[in-house]
Amino acid sequence: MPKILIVDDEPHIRLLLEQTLEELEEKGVTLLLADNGESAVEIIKKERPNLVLLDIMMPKLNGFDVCNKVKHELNMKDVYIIMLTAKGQEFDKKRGEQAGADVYMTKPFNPDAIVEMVSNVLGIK
Amino acid sequence: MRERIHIKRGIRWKLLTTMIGLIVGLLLTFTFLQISTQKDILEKELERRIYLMKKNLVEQGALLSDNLARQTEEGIASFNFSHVTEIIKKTVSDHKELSYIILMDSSCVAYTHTLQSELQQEKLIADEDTFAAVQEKAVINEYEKGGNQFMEMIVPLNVGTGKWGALRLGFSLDVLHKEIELSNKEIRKKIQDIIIRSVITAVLFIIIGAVVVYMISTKLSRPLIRLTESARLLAKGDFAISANIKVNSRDEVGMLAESFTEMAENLKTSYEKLEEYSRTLEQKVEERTSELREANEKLKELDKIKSDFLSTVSHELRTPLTSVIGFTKIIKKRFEEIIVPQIKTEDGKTLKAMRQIGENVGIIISEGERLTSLINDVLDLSKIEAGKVEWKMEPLLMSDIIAQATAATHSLFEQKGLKLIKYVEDNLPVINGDKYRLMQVVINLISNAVKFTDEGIVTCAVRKTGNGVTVSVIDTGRGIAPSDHVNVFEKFKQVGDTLTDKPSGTGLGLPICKQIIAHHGGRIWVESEPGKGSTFSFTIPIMTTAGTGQIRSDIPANQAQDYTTAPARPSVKHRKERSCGGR
Repeated sequence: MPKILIVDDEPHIRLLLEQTLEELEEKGVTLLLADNGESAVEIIKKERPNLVLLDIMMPKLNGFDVCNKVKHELNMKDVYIIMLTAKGQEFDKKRGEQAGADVYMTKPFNPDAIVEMVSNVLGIK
Repeated sequence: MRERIHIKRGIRWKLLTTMIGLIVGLLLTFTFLQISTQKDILEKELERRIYLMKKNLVEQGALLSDNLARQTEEGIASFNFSHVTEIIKKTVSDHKELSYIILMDSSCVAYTHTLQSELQQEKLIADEDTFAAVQEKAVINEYEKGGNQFMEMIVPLNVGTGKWGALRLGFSLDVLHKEIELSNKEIRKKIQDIIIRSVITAVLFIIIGAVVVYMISTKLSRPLIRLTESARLLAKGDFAISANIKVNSRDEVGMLAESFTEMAENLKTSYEKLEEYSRTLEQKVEERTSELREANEKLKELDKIKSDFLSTVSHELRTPLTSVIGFTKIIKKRFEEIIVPQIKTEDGKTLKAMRQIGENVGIIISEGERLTSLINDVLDLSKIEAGKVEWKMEPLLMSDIIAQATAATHSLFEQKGLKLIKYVEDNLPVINGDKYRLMQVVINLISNAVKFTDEGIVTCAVRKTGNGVTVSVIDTGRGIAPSDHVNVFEKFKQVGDTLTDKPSGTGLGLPICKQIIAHHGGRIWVESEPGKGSTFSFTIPIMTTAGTGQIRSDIPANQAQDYTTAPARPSVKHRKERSCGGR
């Protein structure tokens, strides 16, 4: 049962992503939500999602730190992290790579593309 | 600290040696002269004395011999030889200066020989004897015999009618010679005295003279040495010595000292002035530096503000936009996939409403996407202009970029039914550039070409020109008036009638291309005429330094999944074309 964690402090974006990935729920995917970095880490530790859609600009713990923690500290290499962010600078992409993100995307994103990517990663048709 | 200057061959030494030399020379000459003069005098004196002595002797001798001669003649005339002999003998013993008396007849037979009595009655054969024999008149003969000098007075004797013989009185000149010897000795002694006296005088004079010269030269050289020492100190920066130079004399040295003191004082003043200026300068420099530092800090702050602004704006604008587009797309999906199939109605109004809703939602989406690309372009351009873009410059081949760009825009051509022709020259040189940015430029040019061409062909050509690689995108569209050739590259400038030709696109595409190409050191331009299509070209200079390794001509497998922060348009395929408008 694949699990996807959606992390964003903006409720609209959380809702948007949830609705975007709704069709996958029909195919047996569980969607989890978090609104800040700290709780995100807790959920990742507890639930071990296969994929995380991670925003960067968040209070308490930002996206880079979450990614770092998950990939390096907790060494959970099998968690696929897609960083979704409105920050559009090259410098940040590098930071994302350093933090261990698998994909780095800017908003606004294409919902169809998200679905396609997530499906590919989780191996769902 | 005063350092003593030792001069090896200074004034003192020169003066001393010169003076000593002079004195010695003088004295030598003087002594020599004196000696020769004295010698002359003394020798003349001696000569005179000898002469006098001789004269005296001669006179005496003459008197004596005359006297004796008379007596002898008388004796001989009266045949009183014993008487004669007696007189002769007596005469000899009476007169010490007489060495001998010889009575000789004309045939050289000695009747009386006071010295060598054995010769009496014998014939005399010596030169002097024969000489004496032939004399007619009284003469004096000087001769040497047995190492002795004799002066002989020869008096011919006349008895009766003729010459009987001669009376010879021999005076030894030895005494005379002894006298001469003595005198010579005296002369020599006198000369020696003179020499000694001269030497002593000379030495005395030298000593005195040396002392005097030493004092004088010291007097001369000391101030000079002091001046030299002071000059050295001055050179080291010690200006206090100017007071130490006390030279009272009015001569050249005094003048020198005066000038020197003056110079030292001037230097001191100048130096003090200089110090002050430099202090003031330092102050000013310090002030300016801190001013600069402040300005620099402000600039850094400004820069940070700019960066923060860009990223904040970027974030703040994109977030709501994400919601707008995202939700609208979902609405469209839900509507089309779930709602519409459920509505089975024939009601025209309902059908019209459904159609309108579908269309409107589509409009919202496309406008939202247009807004997104506008924001992207604005931010992109701002970033480039602010120098906030990180350029990834690497060696690459233009042919690769063209290939990728044409692949990315492939759908545009399909959608509009246009044909794309590629023309890539062989053996293109390597250029240095940012791959994605250059692709951005080519994609932009191609998109524009497609946008403004309704039918025909779009050609993309790459070739080597001069020192660079030139890419040209040629379309058969409506063309651009020459007066607008510059405007197309300006921000937000729309070309064409603003009322009828509504702008599509952001109006920032070409300005961004211009910035990108400018950063690569190349240039971008357009050749076009209304109704005759347009050719947009740009040149990138050839990479001058030799690159290591090979250039991988790669064409990525899946272009669509390239989600990087390069602000490529989110989806080229989804751009809705407008039938008219500016670029």
